[in-house]
Amino acid sequence: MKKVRKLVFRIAAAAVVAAPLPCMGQEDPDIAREKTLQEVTITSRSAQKRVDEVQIGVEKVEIATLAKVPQLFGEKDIIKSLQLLPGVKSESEGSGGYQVRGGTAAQNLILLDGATVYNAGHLMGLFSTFNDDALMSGALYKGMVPAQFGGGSSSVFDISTRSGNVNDYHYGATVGLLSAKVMAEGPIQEGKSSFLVSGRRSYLDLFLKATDDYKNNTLHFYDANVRLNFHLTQRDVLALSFFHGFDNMGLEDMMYMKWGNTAATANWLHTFCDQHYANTRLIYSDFSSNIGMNVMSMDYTSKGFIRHATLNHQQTWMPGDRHHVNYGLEATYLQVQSAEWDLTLLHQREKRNALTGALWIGDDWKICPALQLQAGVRLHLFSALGGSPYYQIDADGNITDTTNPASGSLVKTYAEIEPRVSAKVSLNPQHNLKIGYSRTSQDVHALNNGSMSMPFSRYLVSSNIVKPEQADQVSLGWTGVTNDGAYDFSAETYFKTMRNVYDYRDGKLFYSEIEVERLILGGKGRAYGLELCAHKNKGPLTGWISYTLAWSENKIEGINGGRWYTASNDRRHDLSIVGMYQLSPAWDLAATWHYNTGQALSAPSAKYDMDGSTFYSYSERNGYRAPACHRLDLSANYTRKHGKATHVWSFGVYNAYNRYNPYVIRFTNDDKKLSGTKVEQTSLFGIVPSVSFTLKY
Amino acid sequence: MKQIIYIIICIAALSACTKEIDFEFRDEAPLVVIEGKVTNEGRTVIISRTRSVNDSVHSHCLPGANIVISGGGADTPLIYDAAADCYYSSIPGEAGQTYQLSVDFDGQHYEAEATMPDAAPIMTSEFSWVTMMGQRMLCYEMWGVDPEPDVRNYYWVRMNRISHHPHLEGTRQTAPYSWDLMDDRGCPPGQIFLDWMLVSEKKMDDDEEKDWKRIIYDGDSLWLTLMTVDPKVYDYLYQLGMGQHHGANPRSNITGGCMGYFAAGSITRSDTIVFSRATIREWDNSLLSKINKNTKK
Repeated sequence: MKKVRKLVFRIAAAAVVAAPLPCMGQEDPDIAREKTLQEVTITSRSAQKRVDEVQIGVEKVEIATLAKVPQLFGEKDIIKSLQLLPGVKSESEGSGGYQVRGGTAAQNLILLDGATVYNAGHLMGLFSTFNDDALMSGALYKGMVPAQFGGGSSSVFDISTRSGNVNDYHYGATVGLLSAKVMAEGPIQEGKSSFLVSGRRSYLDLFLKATDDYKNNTLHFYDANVRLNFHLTQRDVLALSFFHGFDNMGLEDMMYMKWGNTAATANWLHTFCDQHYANTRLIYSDFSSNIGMNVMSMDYTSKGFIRHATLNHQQTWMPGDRHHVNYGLEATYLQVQSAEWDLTLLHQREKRNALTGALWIGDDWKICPALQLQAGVRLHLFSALGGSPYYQIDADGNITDTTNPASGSLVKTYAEIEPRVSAKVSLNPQHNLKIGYSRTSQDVHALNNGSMSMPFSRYLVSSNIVKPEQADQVSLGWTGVTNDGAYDFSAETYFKTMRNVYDYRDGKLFYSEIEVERLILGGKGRAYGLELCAHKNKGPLTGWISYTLAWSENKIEGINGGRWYTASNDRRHDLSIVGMYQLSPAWDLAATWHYNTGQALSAPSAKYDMDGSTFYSYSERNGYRAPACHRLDLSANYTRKHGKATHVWSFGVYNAYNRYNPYVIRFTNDDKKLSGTKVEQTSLFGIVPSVSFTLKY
Repeated sequence: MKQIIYIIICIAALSACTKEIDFEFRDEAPLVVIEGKVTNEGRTVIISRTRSVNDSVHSHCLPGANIVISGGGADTPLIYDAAADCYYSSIPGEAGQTYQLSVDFDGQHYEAEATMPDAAPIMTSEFSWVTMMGQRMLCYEMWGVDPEPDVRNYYWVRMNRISHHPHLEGTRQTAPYSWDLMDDRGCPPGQIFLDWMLVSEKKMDDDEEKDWKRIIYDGDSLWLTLMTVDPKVYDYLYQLGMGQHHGANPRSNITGGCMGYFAAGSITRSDTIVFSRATIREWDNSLLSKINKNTKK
């Protein structure tokens, strides 16, 4: 039974005005540009703005840049583009999962118009679930996280969708190697309301159907975005945003894996005056997974979900030129079903409910021309609710006591004060020093079995014995720009500590027990490093070079003898070079080269014989390094206009020099070899060409 | 256009590859490994040491240890048997008894304790073909009796093979063809079953050297041993299997700082099957009738 199961398994917060609404009278150019005027597509972000940012450790992703950067299979991907930034690393080659400053992918909060997206990967994480046609901008907070955000202990990636054009209708369609997408936008009532609809669907399954062996298999994904904007009055704007993404994989009628996200936000912006406005937001978010298999006598299904409904209200007030105050409150009803499964005749379910709340205030204070402060504090509240069993668990993972609190009763409440502060000292108009401190926490914990985004993760919410995960980070940085703005530079260093980090016990998998708390061990972590970045901003050739030097370590009782050990996501050096060249009005070219030293790896230090078989002994967790990785990606876009129509041919080559980078390193005992052990490296991608065609009207 | 796309996708799909690489291991000082068992077939202990990752010579049981297994009011010393390559006593264990292992070796003392569960008789076992993704897979299904239907029981299954095929000449016949662990969650009341996918028909046809150990050849003799074990030993063996892929050592139930385990368990054996590919039938789902879908455990 288990063998078959294993076989199949192997196969296979909200922003200040996060849903960027038109905010009449918002004159601050930064805010206006990045947070409010969604009718204007951001095309570039001046070097001076980047240097002048008060917050330390914030990166803005520009959609126009994203369109030029080469990507795997030519699929433009906002998440993958993050991985070219300093302090951000991919989980593995091709993976859409990203790690920020020593955290894991599960510790990143990803928001789409304020709604949490828990699993942002399509097709085992090879592509992100976000369609660039629908996006306006993204901001990654990896250092100081503003007080209005909560829920990600490592970082917050705040993505905003685009509003439809209120004056003209526009349409677009793209046909690529793996997927096709369409987009339409325009006024509902000219000048007052608009719509934007975009959708994408893969057609890998069409190719499967063309084969004899795989025609009965299923492999596709789709996603859809809808955004409606209504200018109700001169002072009121209502925005409705909806997103749904879905993946479906199946092997004939024997096995299926389905997972998807749904996020919906209703955002009402009310402007009191030019200096004071309020946002009230109702948010619903759902991530569901459903896997099953039916092989021989084995019949197995498992379903999990995270659902929450949130009410968020916040106000922004600018009393004079020196202050920009944001304050608000938030309440969330959360449901987490870690699993509901049928193992042939056994039915088991574990579902927990919780209430979370937050109160916050933050201020961006220009103390004097040379000193600017952004400070805030967030009171984070979490209450586990009754209605399902709660346990006491011993050191071996056995349940020693069970209670069944009444439905809706408060089982355990955590209240934490989370201060955040960032200061910028201007040495002169071109050079700034920054220092920051941030405390962040997270109530939903994810247990992943690997770097691939599969629906096998188990999720658990803080409880009577599982505490909210918490991180403290201090960072120090410098930014500089040349007089003409042609080049800008940054350097940041950070030290981060993490508490209540949970991971699987050795020998446990997601299906080992229904009570997920029996599968985990909790501990702490620390990470530190240095990030350097240089941008070239002017001329036909633009781009950047980013470098990250990082350490990441964990300490969990029961693992590695309870000693500190190198975290599995530890990687010492990461270097990315991104170049974009405007060859002519019609042609633009881009190239990225990425290099990183080897990922931490556990390798055997001895072997021994037992019951007729040979096994490896591991003296140290993650004590070795995989070989280094490097890769060159190229892209070229050819753009032509014919009247109102624009067409774009996009060509790309992923891994241009066909470097086989390590994805998995496997150690196999081989008695026939003198060395006694065979070491094999599996690489996921060699050279991958791509082409796509886009028509816009 | 469609053909171009198809070719590009094929290039991408085929671009994944596996290759052998050089790797520099750091050796550690040898550690003592103890493998102790009390079963209804007798008592054995094997003591060895870890060896270099680059060592291709198998270890043997080391003499010189003082070993006693206690339980049921009696202390049973185990005698070193060079021919059997282990310390041995023919006195069987009894289900329900708790046994203590005591080992003194090379100036160190090691101890462990394990309780012996009841035996799980094997009712049926057979090979069959199951078609998956256009390929026929050789599968093995075993049905047995759950000795304690009201509690969760744990099993260590081992498929043994004696082969005289030239491709397997010189390989250790004491090594299992395959082994795995199972529990009885979801099984019909009073019954347990195991479904095992072994090897594809295509691999058997291609007969490539890399697959020789997985291929079952005509004339091979195969039988299953099913051993009930206590949860700690199950956890140890589970961690052992998982750790080979995740780089972690299992937590031994033996104190004193060694590797290995001490298990007490009841062993049952299936009938021996002399494999003949021509006689293997398609999998018959009538066995599913054994499962009463309306009965939830």
